[in-house]
This record gives sequence, structure tokens and C-alpha cells, in this order.
Amino acid sequence: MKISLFTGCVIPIKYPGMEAAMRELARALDIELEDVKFGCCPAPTGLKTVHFDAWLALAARNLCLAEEKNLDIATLCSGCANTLRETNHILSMDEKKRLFVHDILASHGKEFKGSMKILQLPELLARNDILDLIQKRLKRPLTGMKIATHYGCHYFRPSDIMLDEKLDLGYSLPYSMELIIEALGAEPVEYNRQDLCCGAALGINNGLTEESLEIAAEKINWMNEAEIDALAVCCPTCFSQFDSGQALIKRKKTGLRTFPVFHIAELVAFALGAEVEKLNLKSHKIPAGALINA
Amino acid sequence: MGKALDLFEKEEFYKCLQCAICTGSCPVARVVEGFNPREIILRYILYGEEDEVLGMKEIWNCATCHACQERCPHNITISGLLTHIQNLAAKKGNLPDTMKAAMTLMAETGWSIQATPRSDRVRTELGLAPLKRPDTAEIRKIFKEAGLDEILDLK
Repeated sequence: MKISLFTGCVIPIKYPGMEAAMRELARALDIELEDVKFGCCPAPTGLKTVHFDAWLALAARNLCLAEEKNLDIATLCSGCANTLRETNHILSMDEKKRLFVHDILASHGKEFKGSMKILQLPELLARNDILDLIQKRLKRPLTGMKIATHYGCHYFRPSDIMLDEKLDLGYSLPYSMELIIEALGAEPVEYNRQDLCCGAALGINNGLTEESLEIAAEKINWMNEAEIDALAVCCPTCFSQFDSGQALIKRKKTGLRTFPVFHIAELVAFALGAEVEKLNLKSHKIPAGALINA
Repeated sequence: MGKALDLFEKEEFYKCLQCAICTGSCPVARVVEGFNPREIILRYILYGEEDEVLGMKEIWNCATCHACQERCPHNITISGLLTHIQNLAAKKGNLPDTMKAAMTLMAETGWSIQATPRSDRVRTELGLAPLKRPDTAEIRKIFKEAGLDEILDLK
């Protein structure tokens, strides 16, 4: 399988270890990655709220870049996936928007045809053949670990556009990361208010850091109540909110029980035997700890 | 012009019962005083207080989590309305400095966060290729053609 990798901005710039993990797991699972010079997705929490048309046009440009190479797109960030998939949806459904974008892109030698799929990493890895391969090539099973998931709002909402019809229909939440966690030998854990937002946008967009951490703190409390050993996410912004967030919350609430947070790519790459230094787990604010000896 | 925002249909909002499931589901409404999706629908659509709502700082607190819209018993596209309101507000100059700075950065670099020398240093340590800057000249042109210069000075 060959796929174009949409890293987004936050991962290559702030968390390159997650990109390295993606490349390691792709190598281990015979997935060939093509690097395309994509721009910012752009973020559904950012440019979309400021200028919808500019958001749509830039996202469509990204889709065209993958389409020129006849490749589907794999994303590592729920925000990127949301923008690209919603843009694909809008341009396929809305004649007026399609013509508006078409005129702009045509002057740059690009044309949107809508032939590509946008796959979020967990959806890609939760395919039956890939799950089998993961189990077959497991080098470091995560036996005994209780791992909860947080998908990030944009992974699964709006549900009519974002949820994978094969994997997720019938569930109120996605299930792809749970399947992956099981394949890694760990135990997926449910907790209360699993669909709650991480709150990050509030701090990033409007500077309301305290309030944004209040939202994260509520979710962290529910996770702690379920006594999780680790949290798996598939979005770098959610990662930051829970990893840095726990460190910030602990400054005021010294007794806080903390748990390490991982991008699902990190967990999969680790379990498939990637060299631990390459995953840069030491950049995590909450140490990966005894579970993963980084 | 064909540039209207087809994010929501006003008629759809006449179905709103003001049941407040939206506000009850909103994670921001729980932690920020004065942010209330139900009240935004009431004032903007049903009372017609458009100018007042477009001037509110609070509209920028929406986390775009879509919980309101997912839970609305009438399937009203509430996040679409919020985005519509934010877009119009930005044109009228109601845009937080943090957002303006982020948009300027994106027009200049093609990325939403600032790359630092550290990014490339760590990338090298991990055996990754250096960051490849996107085609920012083309991105700026596309922004301009899409109308972003209504809000941002794109030079």
C-alpha cells in the first residue's frame, strides 16, 4: 500500500517524534509513505472560523496535491482529517462552492476531482488485514496495560461526515483505537464522558488557558477514576492538552494522579519494535515511565 | 457573487425550541461565563440582534467541538451558525489578536505554528528530513483570491 502522509504543522514542528513513529510503523507494516509539500490543513478551529472561503480553498489545494499523485491521504491529526474530509464533502456536494474553488485553483494549474479518500491513522490501522499484520509482527506486546482513548472532537464530529461507516456505525464513539489497543496486547478502558472535548481551542484561539484546562481537568478526573495506565490520542493538540495539561494542573493540585499520554502512532511503533530513542518519548511532560522504559 | 456562506439556513433555526440542550452539552458554557449557544440563537436569529451579536467577544470562545449540533433534537446546524457569525464578525473587525496573529503566521509561513531552529535540530537527531516549507507565494495568492484580504493585509 502506498499513501500520502499528511503530517499537518504541529507534529513535524512541535512533536517530530510522532512523525518518526509514523514512519517506523509504516516501515514495519509495509506501508509506503509519499511526502507531499502540503500546506497547513488549515485548522477547523482557526482559519475556518475566520474566513470560510479561504479555509476551503487552501484545503482544496492540499487535496489536489495528493490527487495529482493518485494517492489517498493518511492524517495524524484529528483537525487535519476534519478539514480535509469536510472539504472533500463540501466540494463533492455543493456546486456553488465547487465552482468558486475551481476558479481559484485553475489559475494555479490545479483541479479538484474528489477521487481520493482521507484516512485518519486509526482508521487505516484498524483495517482487518493491518490488525492481523500488527499482531503477527508484535515485538513488544503491551500486556497488562489499561489504555483509554481520546479521539478529539474533530475525529468523529460532525458524525455524518467524520465517522467511518464500516468501523463506527452503531457506536456513539469511534472504536478504531480500541481495536488497535487490543491488537497491541493491551486492554482498552471505558470511562465517563469519553466524548468530552479536550478544551484546547479555547486557550489557543482566545487566550483562555485557565478555562481550557478546566475542561481538560474534568476529563482527566474521569480517566483517573477508571484507573487508566495510559491515554492514547490521535491528535497532537489533544496530546498537548493532556500531557502538558496534567503538568500544569499538577502545579496547583499537587496530589493529582497522572498518567502518560501517547499518540497512537507512538504506541504502535513501540510495540512493533521501533528503536525507542527514535520516538523521542523524552519530550513528553508526563514521563512514559515504567510502562515504556524510554 | 456566489460567495455567500452556505453554512446554515436561517429557516432551519425557526425550529429551535430554546430547549438548551446545546448549552447543556457545551463544554465551554460550563467554564466561561457569558458563552451560551442557546442565547446566541435567540438573539441572532429570533430577536434579530445581529449587530450586537457580531460585536460580542464571547463568540470566539466556541471550541468547534460540534457537541451542540450533534445533540440538537432538531438537527439544527448550530456550529454552522457559530462559524457564520464568527466569519461576519471578523470582517467587521471583531477578531481576537491571537487569531489575527495566527492567520498572519499562516499567510507568511504556510503553517499554523512557528517553526524554530529547535524543530530542525530535533528532527535531525531523530533521523527525519528537515522541514520543507510549503509554497507560501501560491498560498498567499489563493488566500487573496478567496477574499482573505478583506480581513488580513496580505501585501
